[in-house]
Amino acid sequence: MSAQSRATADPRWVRVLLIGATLAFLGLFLFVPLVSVFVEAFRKGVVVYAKAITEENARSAIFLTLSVAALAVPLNAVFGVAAAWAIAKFSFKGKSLLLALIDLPFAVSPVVSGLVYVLLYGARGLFGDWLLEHDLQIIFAVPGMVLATVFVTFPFVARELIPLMQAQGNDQEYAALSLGASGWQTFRRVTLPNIKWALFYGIILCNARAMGEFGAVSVVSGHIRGQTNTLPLHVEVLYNEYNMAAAFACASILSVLGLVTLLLKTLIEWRAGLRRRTH
Amino acid sequence: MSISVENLRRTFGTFQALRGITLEIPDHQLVALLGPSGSGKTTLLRIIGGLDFPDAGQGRVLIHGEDVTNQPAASRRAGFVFQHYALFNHLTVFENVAFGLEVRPAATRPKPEVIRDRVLELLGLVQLDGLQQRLPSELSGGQRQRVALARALAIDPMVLLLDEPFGALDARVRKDLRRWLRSFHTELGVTTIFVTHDQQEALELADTVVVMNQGQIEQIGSPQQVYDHPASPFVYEFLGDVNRVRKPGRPDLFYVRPHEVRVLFAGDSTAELHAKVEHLFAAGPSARLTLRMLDSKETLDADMTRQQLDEMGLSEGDEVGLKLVLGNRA
Repeated sequence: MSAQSRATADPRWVRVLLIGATLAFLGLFLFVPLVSVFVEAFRKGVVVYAKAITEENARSAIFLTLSVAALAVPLNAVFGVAAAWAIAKFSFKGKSLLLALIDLPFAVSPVVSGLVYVLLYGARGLFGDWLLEHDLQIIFAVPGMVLATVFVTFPFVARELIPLMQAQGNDQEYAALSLGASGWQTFRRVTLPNIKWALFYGIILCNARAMGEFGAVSVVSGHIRGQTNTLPLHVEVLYNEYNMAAAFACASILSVLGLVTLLLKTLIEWRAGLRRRTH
Repeated sequence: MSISVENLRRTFGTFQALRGITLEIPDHQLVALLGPSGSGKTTLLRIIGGLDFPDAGQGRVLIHGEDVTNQPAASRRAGFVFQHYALFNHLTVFENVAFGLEVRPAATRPKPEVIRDRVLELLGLVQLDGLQQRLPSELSGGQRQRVALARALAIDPMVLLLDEPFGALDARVRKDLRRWLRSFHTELGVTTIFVTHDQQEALELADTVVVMNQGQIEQIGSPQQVYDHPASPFVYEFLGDVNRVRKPGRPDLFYVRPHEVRVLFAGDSTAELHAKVEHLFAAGPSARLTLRMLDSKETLDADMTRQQLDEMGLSEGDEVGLKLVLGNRA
């Protein structure tokens, strides 16, 4: 320990107490529940577990969850980059309003976001008649679930990029322009490489939330088994049927997803940190 | 290439950054835009480079007689060097310099071998041979500066625009680079405009100095003209140290530079003013005296050589006589 850090360090017992309390808290509220998900999932054996996650409704739920994420995440990556680009690199009227709007999905309850979509696109909603005439179903169908997921996960990419792009400023873009690059070349060769890691990071968080989203999706899905149930909704259905082993088996897939997200996030932070140090 | 700017105006919100700038820059010149921060010098540079634009209909920019006012930066071929270099951090030195050639449309893009030769030639020109595989973060400030210059030169610019080119460097490197840039410009002959708030830099380096203040041009002239014949009190005070003196029995103010104050013995009959030595600073070949006037109690700085100082044997607290040597100006 250097002289300086010794000077600012607390007495040993304070450190032990604080670290101990933190670990106990983390263990009790995070680690034990996580472990118990897997314990419960495998309680009735591997065969039951395997059957629970390969059964038709479960497979449909997994497929739907992946499909919704596969649509919502790329959309939000594009919207997020566009919004962050606009906010960080230009000054215009209504900029702070746009910033507030981007944060809106964080501020309102996901249930409310779901309800708004029902009110807009439902059979008795604002666009209901028009949609009915054209034989388009959004609510209680996949499009509604994608819309609700896009709404709820909108801020992740934009929020990750805005502070970084603001800190980087416009000089490199201006330099590229003065060297004759077009707008697209500037974006692809200069802006994108500079935001690469933050973008990955945002996408991963966005994806985790998209796959785990319950509230908004629950309102617009209609819970049609094998058709509009995503994995989180499927877990709820199983749980309500007292099918604990199957519920936990499916929950364990979501947990693994979460752990993979965490791993990727750590890897990216490590990579980004490494780059910063060597550059 | 010659550059002319006609009656340029630029406002940011309610702030008038440029209030009608007219400027004519002949071919091959090295021009300094000199002024305090907020004087509009960087805005002017950016507008010439196409990185900013004048208020709608308020002025024109011509490069070699062609009106480029509304042309985007990409089509102006103005090599821009930014204050903090703005190198592409994720690209090597080679890739940075090659950038301007690589982004050309396929029809006009040189072959890879041609690009390579050109980049290596430019790196040789800015004395960075052998560093082409480094990343910008692995270079010193002075080296980054020269990469930025090589990168700007790669597009074979009609004009070179440098924003505070030495601002971020330490004093020693700065001095070396300054000398180097001067000889570099003589060699290449590209019309070059640089922005600085350092009068020493402007006077030492430029063929023409454009002194700016509050969005307007105060004076345009050779370094000697602006230093010896300042057109306004602002130019006087901004260019070099200056004293404001009132001669006894006369109401008007004089501007006198420290080297124009001759220090005499107290009893000298040619003395115009009388003062007391308040502070004496003598390091190096010259000495700087801070003098307090006996009648008005105002202070005044005077420069003299160490030899003169030693011969007169002055020390703090001594009384002296002063004579103002205004040279060839009124």
